[in-house]
Amino acid sequence: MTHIRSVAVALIVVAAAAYLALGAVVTPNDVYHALDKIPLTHRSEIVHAFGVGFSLGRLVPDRTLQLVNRLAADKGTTADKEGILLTIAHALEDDLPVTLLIDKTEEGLARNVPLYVILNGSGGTVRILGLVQREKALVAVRDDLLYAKGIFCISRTGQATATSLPRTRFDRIVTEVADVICDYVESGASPLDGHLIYQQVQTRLENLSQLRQPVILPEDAALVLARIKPADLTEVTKKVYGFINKS
Amino acid sequence: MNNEDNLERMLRDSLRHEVARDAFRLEGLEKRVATELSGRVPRGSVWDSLKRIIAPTSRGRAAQLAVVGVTALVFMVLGAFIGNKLSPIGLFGGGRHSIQAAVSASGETSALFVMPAPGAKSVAVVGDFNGWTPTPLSDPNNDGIWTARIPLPPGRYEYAFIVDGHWWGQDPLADGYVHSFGSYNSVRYIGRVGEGA
Amino acid sequence: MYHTQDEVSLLRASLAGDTEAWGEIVVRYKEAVFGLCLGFLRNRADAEDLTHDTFIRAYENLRRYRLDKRFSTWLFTVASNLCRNRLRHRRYHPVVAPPEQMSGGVDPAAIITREARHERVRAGLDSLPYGYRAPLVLRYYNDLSYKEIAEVLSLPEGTVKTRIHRAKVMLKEKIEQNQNGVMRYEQRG
Repeated sequence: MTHIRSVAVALIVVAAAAYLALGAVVTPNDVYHALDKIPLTHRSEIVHAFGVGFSLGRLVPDRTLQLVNRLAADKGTTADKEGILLTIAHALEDDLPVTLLIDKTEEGLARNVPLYVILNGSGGTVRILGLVQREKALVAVRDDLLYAKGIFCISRTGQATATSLPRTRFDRIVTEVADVICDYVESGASPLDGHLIYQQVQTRLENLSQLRQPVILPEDAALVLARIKPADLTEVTKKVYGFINKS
Repeated sequence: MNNEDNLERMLRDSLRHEVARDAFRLEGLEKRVATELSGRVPRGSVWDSLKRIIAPTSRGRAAQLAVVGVTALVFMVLGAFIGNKLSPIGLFGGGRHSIQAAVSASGETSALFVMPAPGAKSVAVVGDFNGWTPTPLSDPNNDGIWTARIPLPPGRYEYAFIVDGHWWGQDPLADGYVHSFGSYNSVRYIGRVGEGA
Repeated sequence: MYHTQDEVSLLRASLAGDTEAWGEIVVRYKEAVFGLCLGFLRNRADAEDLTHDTFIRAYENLRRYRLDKRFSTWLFTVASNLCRNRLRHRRYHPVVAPPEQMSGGVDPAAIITREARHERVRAGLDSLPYGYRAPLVLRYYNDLSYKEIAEVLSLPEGTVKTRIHRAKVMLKEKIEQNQNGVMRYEQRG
């Protein structure tokens, strides 16, 4: 079965590559057509949220198409496929970046991880965070950490608060900090060690801000690191821990 | 309940649910255990135990670690001699990133992925930069060193190698590792200042 | 740079008397051991006690652990033996489910439906004989292979497979029996 799936995925990838090589540009409509391969009960909700994602640049059509095609070809249940798409849709509706969710889904599919584990994670011997917990980590980092510390995103209407960053810069910080915390939780370390978590956030932000073309601007990294404290990270991490198996 | 899978899933969910809502009972257990054991050592000779830990075994985690270590060593030794592919490297830090990433005259950055896999039929790299779809490595010299140079913008990347269908998430020359889906991913930063110049 | 200190390093430090390193092992496995004990014994207080006892006993006997086995399998064997001993000395106490907390933003109907489903499975598990429940828990909570379950329970692999199969049949029957009883409850959601 694994071989059949691998072949199917390879064919889809080759087809997608050929399509791109011929100069065809993937559009949101292609993604919506691809969604028809999965008998979704919340199709309109997903399409609407994806539309918002495309318009804000949080979703890229060709990568989204690849994800939908891979999900459609997977042997998992329709409910889990829809669960994954809905989690991404809910994050978009909730004004969150979804790179982390899409990336983890693609990795899980490539590793032949069952869809219900990709979606819900696992709290067994090996702790795995699913998309459900990752989405909550994104919310917690944005609301309980950045917002709580007075670091905001410039709103869609363009209104800026005292410390507000453009959307792409804000999204990147949310994504990276949430990713560090998720990595930390998956490593099995104690959520109470705020200094260690802070150190890991610091390392990540500084590494990304010291590149030739910084992925995170040095001033953004400095702002975040100056305002958050180890105790804040402990609270957020404990929250993410609490989400395991409670989805 | 329609089929076997449903039963298994319900069972799994219920057991996890039971544990999740009693997880508070485990809060601080590690500290209580550590305090209770404070000053005690496991019974028997510590040296005997250490020898057992260090001793090579045919299976299990020790074997995995041994393979990682040997692979790292093989790579480091071979790496020092394949000058046309790699710059010389030291065994103890310094210059490590210069062999992994390069900057072209036009300023574009790329990553060199290297996997020592003598006798392998296929080696590929998967990561967040290619949507976790395999990008093949090649071994034109048949020296067992598989390589691929991939143009990548500066950033942090997670990846793993696939050698003859088996995932290998611990690249000996990665900048770090993270847990992912119960396994490991390697992590590499591309485009550090001073790299590949 | 990353918190990925490997298990062997932690065990090596533990063997040398570093109880902090053992604390890290406790962090990594406490939930898995607690789940095993809870699944085996069906009693929260006993499960909590025995999770603690497992880590004390395992530390004391760490030199007996051999690296050609997965550490988790060995640890589960320690826990499994303690559970078996406890059952010999104590009467059977079923798990009593505390009421689910309903916080703001959570759909109570969804909770009731989910709770009813868990309750059916829980009742089914309670009714299984220990010898059938234990391999089921190791398989579906601890994610062990048949071979590892055989090691933990000191049973032939064939017996493990048979017991798991029979346990699932028994469980399915029990759940279906219980289903009518909770149907009305679920429909309220």
